[in-house]
Amino acid sequence: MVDAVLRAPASARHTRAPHPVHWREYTASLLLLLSLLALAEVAANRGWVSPLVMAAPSQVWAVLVDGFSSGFYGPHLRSTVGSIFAGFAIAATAAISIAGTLASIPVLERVLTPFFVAFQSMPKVAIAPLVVIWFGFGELSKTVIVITACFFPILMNALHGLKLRDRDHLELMRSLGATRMQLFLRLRLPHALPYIFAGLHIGVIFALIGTVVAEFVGTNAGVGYVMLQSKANFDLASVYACLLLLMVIGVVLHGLMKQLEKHVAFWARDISQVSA
Amino acid sequence: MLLAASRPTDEHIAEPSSTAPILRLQGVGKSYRAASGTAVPALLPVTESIAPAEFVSFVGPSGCGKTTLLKMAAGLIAPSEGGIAFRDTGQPIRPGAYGFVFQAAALLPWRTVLENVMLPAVILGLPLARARERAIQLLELVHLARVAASYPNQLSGGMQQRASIARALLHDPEVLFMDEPFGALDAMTREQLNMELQRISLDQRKTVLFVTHDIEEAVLLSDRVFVFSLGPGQLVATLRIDLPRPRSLSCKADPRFLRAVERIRALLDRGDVRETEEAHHG
Repeated sequence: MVDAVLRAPASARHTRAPHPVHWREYTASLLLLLSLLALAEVAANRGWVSPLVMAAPSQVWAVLVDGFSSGFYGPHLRSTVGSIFAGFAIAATAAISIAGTLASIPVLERVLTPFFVAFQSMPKVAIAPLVVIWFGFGELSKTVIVITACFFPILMNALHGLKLRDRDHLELMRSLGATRMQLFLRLRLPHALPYIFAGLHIGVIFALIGTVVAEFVGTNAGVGYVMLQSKANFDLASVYACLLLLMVIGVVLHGLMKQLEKHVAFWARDISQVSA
Repeated sequence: MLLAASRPTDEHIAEPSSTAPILRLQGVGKSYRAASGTAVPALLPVTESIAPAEFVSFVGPSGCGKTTLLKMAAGLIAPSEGGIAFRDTGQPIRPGAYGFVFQAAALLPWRTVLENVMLPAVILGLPLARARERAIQLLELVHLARVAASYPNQLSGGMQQRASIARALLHDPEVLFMDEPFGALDAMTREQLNMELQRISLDQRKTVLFVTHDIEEAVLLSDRVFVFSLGPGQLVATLRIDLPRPRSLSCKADPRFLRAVERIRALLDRGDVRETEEAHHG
């Protein structure tokens, strides 16, 4: 089914007219950014703002350039991005398989749902210290924390999507004598895709949060760890540089999910936008 | 006509046993269990026989049990009493041996129009290359060949419903069950689709069970009209419509047509039909 969707003609995917490009607004946004940066630069240099509150943009830039050219950021970025992807991939695979299993065993789902709701309501970052006790200081703990952070939103959305609300679709399948497997592959799963993507979308951002928390509490590598060290040294420029890196990672992850979603769940962009 | 060449089962439609009923409703009734535990009848038992290639409409107000009877006849809902026999099997019609058209087109939004029409072949495991050819022919039949590669959300309601009729015909079913298929469409689209449905059912000699609450639509299309009433739902009369076929929209002015409509309206009025139903659709 997914395969069929991916082979859909490109023209059909873009059903809506492309948004007009608002050059004027883009120019205004850029100008606003530049003037804010200039203001921050002047404010920092003239001492209008304490150096303990804000670093000058030029300093932050210098730290970034130095960090990349010296190769200092390399391992930390790899560690952060690596554990986001590892944790997210494991959590997504587990959550979607479990959701698929539960959807076909309604009794089990009803028994387990209260637990899922309880776990989802608990702030997962609060488990982080416990995970460090269990798995020690390092990458393993970090991955486990990321998994706990993004597992539940993916699971809950997938479960939600796998519930069939359209009685006609179900009766259509029954009128053709569809087997349980056909019902799952041809109806439930494709129907759930937009919801699963909404979950993945939230999940990938939660994975980033989970990674940073993990790096705060229990590792000696990663952008979050560098940030913590810089804070300890009152190196504000480096702290801001780390924030900037995390922001870029977040934006890239968000963009990747959006692209993937547009191609796999193209017929229901609206649903996922609402839940995300 | 268009599909005559590709129809694999042409011969058994003309077989001599075609005078024997294709579908027997043997005291089929439905009741629901109320919160108090007592059984509330939704449809009193119905006993009727439907002949091969017959077009039968179920007419009545909402809640009279006509859709329930249709779904029981198709085997989608289990009856509380009585039974349904397809030909001489003593069993309800097998899933996959009939086509069902829903009130909403019920197309799958992630499949193109062509892929939607091919769905029965995918589920029934029919050879896909042949099914594809047939799907294209059926889309031509319902004037949708042009939008075969589009997705359902790019189609108007009338086009979606036509696609769902093509889907119901793909596996060349002997019986078509249609649950208010044109209920949500505007009057012009509806008349156009009525004519197309008549053409298809005559050309392909389908047995059609058709639920509607539009009396004129029922008379225009049917060989027989089953009239239902409320409280509790029951079959109150069956009317044979002896207008020559093929019928055109102009036959709505025929005195026999008008008499049949009047007769059904009178039956419905007697059966405690609410004003609003009639005002809305009459």
